[in-house]
Amino acid sequence: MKRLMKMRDIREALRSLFSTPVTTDFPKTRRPPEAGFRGKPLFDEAGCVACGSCGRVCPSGAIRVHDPKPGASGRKARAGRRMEVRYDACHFCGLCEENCITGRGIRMTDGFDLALIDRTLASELIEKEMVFCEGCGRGVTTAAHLRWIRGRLGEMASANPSLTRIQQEPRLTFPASPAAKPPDRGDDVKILCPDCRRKVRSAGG
Amino acid sequence: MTEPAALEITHPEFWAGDLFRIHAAEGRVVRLDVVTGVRHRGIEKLAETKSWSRLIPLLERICGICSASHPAALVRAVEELAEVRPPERAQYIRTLSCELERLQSHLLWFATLGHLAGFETLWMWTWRYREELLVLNERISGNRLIPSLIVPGGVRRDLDGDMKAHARRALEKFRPALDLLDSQLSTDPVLRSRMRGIGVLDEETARKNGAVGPMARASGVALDVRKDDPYFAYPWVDWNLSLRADGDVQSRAEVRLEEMRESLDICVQCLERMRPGPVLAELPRVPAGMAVSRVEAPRGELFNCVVSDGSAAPVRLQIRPPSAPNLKAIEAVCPGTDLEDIAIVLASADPCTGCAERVTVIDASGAAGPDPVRLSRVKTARSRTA
Repeated sequence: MKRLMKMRDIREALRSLFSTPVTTDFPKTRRPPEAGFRGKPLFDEAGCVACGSCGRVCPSGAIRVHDPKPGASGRKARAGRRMEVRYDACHFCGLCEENCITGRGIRMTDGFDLALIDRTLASELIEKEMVFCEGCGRGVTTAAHLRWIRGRLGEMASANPSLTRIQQEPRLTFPASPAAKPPDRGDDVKILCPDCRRKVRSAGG
Repeated sequence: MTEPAALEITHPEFWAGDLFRIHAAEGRVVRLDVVTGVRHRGIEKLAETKSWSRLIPLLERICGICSASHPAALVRAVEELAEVRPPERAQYIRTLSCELERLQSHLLWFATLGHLAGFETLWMWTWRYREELLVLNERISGNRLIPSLIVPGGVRRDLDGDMKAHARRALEKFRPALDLLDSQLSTDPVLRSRMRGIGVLDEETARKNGAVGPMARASGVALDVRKDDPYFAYPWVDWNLSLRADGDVQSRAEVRLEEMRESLDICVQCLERMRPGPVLAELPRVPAGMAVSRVEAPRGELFNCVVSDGSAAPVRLQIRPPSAPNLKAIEAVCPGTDLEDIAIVLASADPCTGCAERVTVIDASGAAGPDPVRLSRVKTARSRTA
């Protein structure tokens, strides 16, 4: 039995002498991950409409949606919606990619070497132009999101003046403060949030 | 007679931080206390705040090794509540994922055994072959360890294109690993002497302590959820239950090795038998009600109880993992064992803290006490009526 074991050891030693080592290359070379690997999630500037659905499904809260605060004035009020993904909190489940409404807004890339010394750097941001309600001044959603909805609805989008105007006016400007007067039927042509739209349409006339 | 010396083994790297309190005298173990609660993470409570789809990534993290079994147990319960029948192809892919998990988990067990018994080469060998399994897992699911594949209604990814052929090749390449382990177990006299007749758990003690999984099967208790309560594609594939009667560490190793051969066959059968088709059925709103489910995790029976009130998240999710009863069984085995063997005996139960961290009350007589959660609820109800 002992001789048998010796033979086996010698065979193993000889094989190791003439074969490539099991250990990986030094200095380090990056092993490309397999196709379909769920790595570092990245927003796609062209595909993302900043609707915020990825932030809603994210189980670990790694994707955050920062909206400008209602009532903020000046430069802040005109700031867009910022979508942030934090790699230090992400656990790479891929639910964001799966639930993306456009299907190409956020992608799981093949990045896996994400170690950092400074934790605050572990984030990616994109910003999208925000649309505000001309009635109450509250943020409605992003212009890209409204345009995407318009594209999906086709001619049915004409029923909603917000969607029509977003198509007609490439660059939107909003009043610095919300309208002082109560809404009436004439306001229906404005860009409104769902609450204000309801008020306008039930104002009678 | 000398007072038994207390030997506490606590280190964060020691099996993910189980606390074994070993009372020893003259080199022999007098008593072993398993202390749980050291790494309590409150996952059951956290689960009540997560919607059904966001629950899966949480449950996968109870234990990185059983990351397919925990979601599997949940989806069985959820599908029973919602009365969803997942597509046939999804059932095969689920089975494949669960068996790949069993293969790599048992390999990890052999690696631990090699490491603790001083057979570092055995450890390195198993690690090398396990790597191939993890790469296959990455190819199939997108992640090496946490597949995130099994969801209520089916699986998230299909095996596309040449994946089937690739998986077949990878599994065949893995077969020599099993022969290597087999030759080690059967020919190496040193390894055998470290395992034969050590940590014997007889059938009666195994039954009394509720041992599950390979631990019970090595003691002659024919217990396997895949046979007793078939789920996924297990009733459609041919496989045998591995059983040993001796109940020592050697038997546990043999049972695991045999199971790995069966797992490999199950994987190959799944790949052969799956037909093209959908992999995900629509999950309707989960109605109010309660469902229990169990699956065979690599360490044994994993039990889930899900209570839903019809909302987007469960009201209560109770998990009974396999490590908890196995640790109770190992407590019964240890008295009389040499201190030199205790590491192997403890490891042979494949204890997993992430798995076992649930609260149990033991009263002075040694019997299991009432559930503390229930006691607290009764007290609240009583305070309300008072």
